[in-house]
Amino acid sequence: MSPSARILPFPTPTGSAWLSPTQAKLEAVDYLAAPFDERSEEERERCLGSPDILMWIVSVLRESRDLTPAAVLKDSHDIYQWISRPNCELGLFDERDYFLGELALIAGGVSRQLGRREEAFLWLDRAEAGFRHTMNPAPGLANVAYARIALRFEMGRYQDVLELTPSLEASFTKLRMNVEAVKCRLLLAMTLKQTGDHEKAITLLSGLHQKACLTGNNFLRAKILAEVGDLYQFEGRLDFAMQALKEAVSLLDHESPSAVQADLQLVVGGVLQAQGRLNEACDAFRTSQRTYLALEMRAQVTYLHLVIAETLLSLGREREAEWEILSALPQIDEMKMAPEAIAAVALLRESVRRRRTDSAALQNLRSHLQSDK
Amino acid sequence: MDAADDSMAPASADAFEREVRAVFQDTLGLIHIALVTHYQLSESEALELEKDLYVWFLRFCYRPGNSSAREARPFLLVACCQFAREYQRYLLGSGVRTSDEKLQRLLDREPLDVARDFSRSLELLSFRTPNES
Repeated sequence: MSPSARILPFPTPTGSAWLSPTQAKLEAVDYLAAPFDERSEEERERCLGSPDILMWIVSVLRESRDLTPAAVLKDSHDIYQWISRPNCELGLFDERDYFLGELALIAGGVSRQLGRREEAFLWLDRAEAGFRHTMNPAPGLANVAYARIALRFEMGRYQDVLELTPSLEASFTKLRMNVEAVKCRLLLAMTLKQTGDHEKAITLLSGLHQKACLTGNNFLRAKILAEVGDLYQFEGRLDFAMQALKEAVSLLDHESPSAVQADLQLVVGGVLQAQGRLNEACDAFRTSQRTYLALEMRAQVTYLHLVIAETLLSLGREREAEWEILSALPQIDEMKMAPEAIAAVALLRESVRRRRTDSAALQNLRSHLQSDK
Repeated sequence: MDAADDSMAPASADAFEREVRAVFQDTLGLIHIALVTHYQLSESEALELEKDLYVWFLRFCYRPGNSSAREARPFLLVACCQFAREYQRYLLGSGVRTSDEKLQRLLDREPLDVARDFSRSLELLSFRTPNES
């Protein structure tokens, strides 16, 4: 070795030390529990600059998507911005890109839940950009593909979903991401429900909630059962529907309020309505609405105002129905709606003003919101 | 295993870390040869990079979509080649080390391709020790 030779210290990024999972998880939970505005820059530096803690922050955010979507969006957005600063050196090797991908994927998912589709698409593009630069991009990119298909479903582009989902399910199976494969199967069944192919959807969902990979995943199991219940309701098999829904409700008995729970209450309301138990249906719809409201899922809250209004009209309670419609209209005005839906809004507004609610316009508008929410 | 996995009780986390460490140890011989013989790092430099590589691999195995540490081993080799390539390029760029033709040829190759060659060696090793799989 030459006498002038020396070992040049390679710039060491943060994160080359290893924290135990227990310790890192505690730090992550503490960080997220602190009020958003009270997190100091030192605290950010310490927690977000540590890949071990960040790994758990991402994990906790992922688990909280259904429970507190608005808060998760705020946190994931904030952390993404912190990491994406040009001078931010995080972790080893591909870890910065990996975390950018994960956080953007989470933000994209909750943006979709909150009805912010344009933002969701942008977040998913960011997620893809992050994952593309990682060592093993396939799992992350497959998750991004799933989120994009879920958005297409919500936009009513059912033929796209029917075409793309089976291939994605096969990818997840190949990657041994069994829970994600189940989610694909569920999405496919939900799409078949929308296209009227109920029998095929029921067959697809048969026994799906009992798969071993879903042990402990009560949210997903309940979501599957809620869809089974809804499908049986469409087929007029109300006893089967109630049986599936009861099982779903029991799975969520001890869980915190979530989007899945609100969805389930909505389906229960639909079955009760089909059974002619309108007062009970109305109660179920209101419970669902309260849950959505707590989760700040405004599009669903608005939709439920109209569902409740329809039920109240069926009960002959016109004045209360008017109140429900009047509560929904300001939010509907803010939505970007198709011209035919705008026409329905105008008709409904006019009929309410005359205190003779136009039930056809109400039903029409509710259908538009259903495919749009 | 995903960090989101509820089974991440301390005991299972320990078992998981043991599995990752075992896979890393199994691959370490090959990693060391790659770093020292092929990428021409000194013993002490290789040792330092191996430490970072282990920490990275441990966290990598926690990412969603990685079903087992053993199946993640090819990615470990790619990371090894990329680590080594970046480090050597840094040294060469700083002017404290000069390159020979053999090293330059290796640095010009994509780490993925180099790692693929190493992976073949790994398959050969697995073939020679059938009990291992």
